[in-house]
Amino acid sequence: MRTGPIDQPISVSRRLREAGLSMRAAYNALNALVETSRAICDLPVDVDLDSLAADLAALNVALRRRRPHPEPAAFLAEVRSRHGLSQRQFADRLGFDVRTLQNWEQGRNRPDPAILNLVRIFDRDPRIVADAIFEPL
Amino acid sequence: MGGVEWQITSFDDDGDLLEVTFRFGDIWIQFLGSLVFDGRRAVFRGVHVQGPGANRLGLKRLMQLLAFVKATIDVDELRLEGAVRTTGANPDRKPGPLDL
Repeated sequence: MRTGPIDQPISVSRRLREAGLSMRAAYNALNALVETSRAICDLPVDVDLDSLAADLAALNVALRRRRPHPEPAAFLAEVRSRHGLSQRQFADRLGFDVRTLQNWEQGRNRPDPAILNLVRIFDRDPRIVADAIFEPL
Repeated sequence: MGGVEWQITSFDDDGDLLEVTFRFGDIWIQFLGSLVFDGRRAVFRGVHVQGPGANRLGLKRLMQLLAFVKATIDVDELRLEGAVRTTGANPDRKPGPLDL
C-alpha cells in the first residue's frame, strides 16, 4: 500500500524483484501502486518479510500480509456467538443455507476461504454485509 | 561537456519490458517501461523514471540523452509515454506524451 509519493519507483521495482518477483510482476505491482495506491503480490514463502517491509517503508510503500485463515468451525461459531445470533439468524444474514452452516460449524465440511473473508467483514461491521445483500423496497 | 558522453551502465529486459540506467559523468538516470517498435518509430510506454532530479540533469543533457537513445536503438522517432506520477506538479496523473 502506498503511504506517500513514490519518488524512487525503480527502487521499488528492484526491491520487489530481489524478493523473488519477476521483472514483469514487479513492474505490474509498481503500476498498481502508483495508479491505485495498492498492489497484491504473491511472494515466495522464504522471503524475509521484515527486511522487505523495512526497505519498502523507506520508499513509501507499506507491506501488509494476508491474514491466515482461522479454523473454520470454531471461527464461525465464535463470530455467531459474539453477535448473539442463532444459526438460523446468522445464516439468513449472510445468505447461507442453515444446514450448510451447521455442517461447517460441526466440521463436517469446510467453507471456501472466501466465505471466511465474508464472515470477517460481517464480524467487523454487519451493516456492510446487510447493505450489500439487502436493498430497500 | 569535456568529452563526457552518455553511456548505458546497466540493462535488463523481459520481452518488451526493459530497465536501463544511463550515466553522464557523475549523473545517472534510470528508466523502466515497455518499448515497442513500429518500423523506424519506437514508443516507450508506461515509463517510470528515477534520477538525480530535474535541476541536476538539465534540459540540454536530457535532450542529449534522448538523441543518444534514438541513435542507440536506431529509430527516427521516439515517443515517451510516462506512467502515473506520484510526485511533481501533477501527481496521480500520467504526463502527456513526449515526441522526439
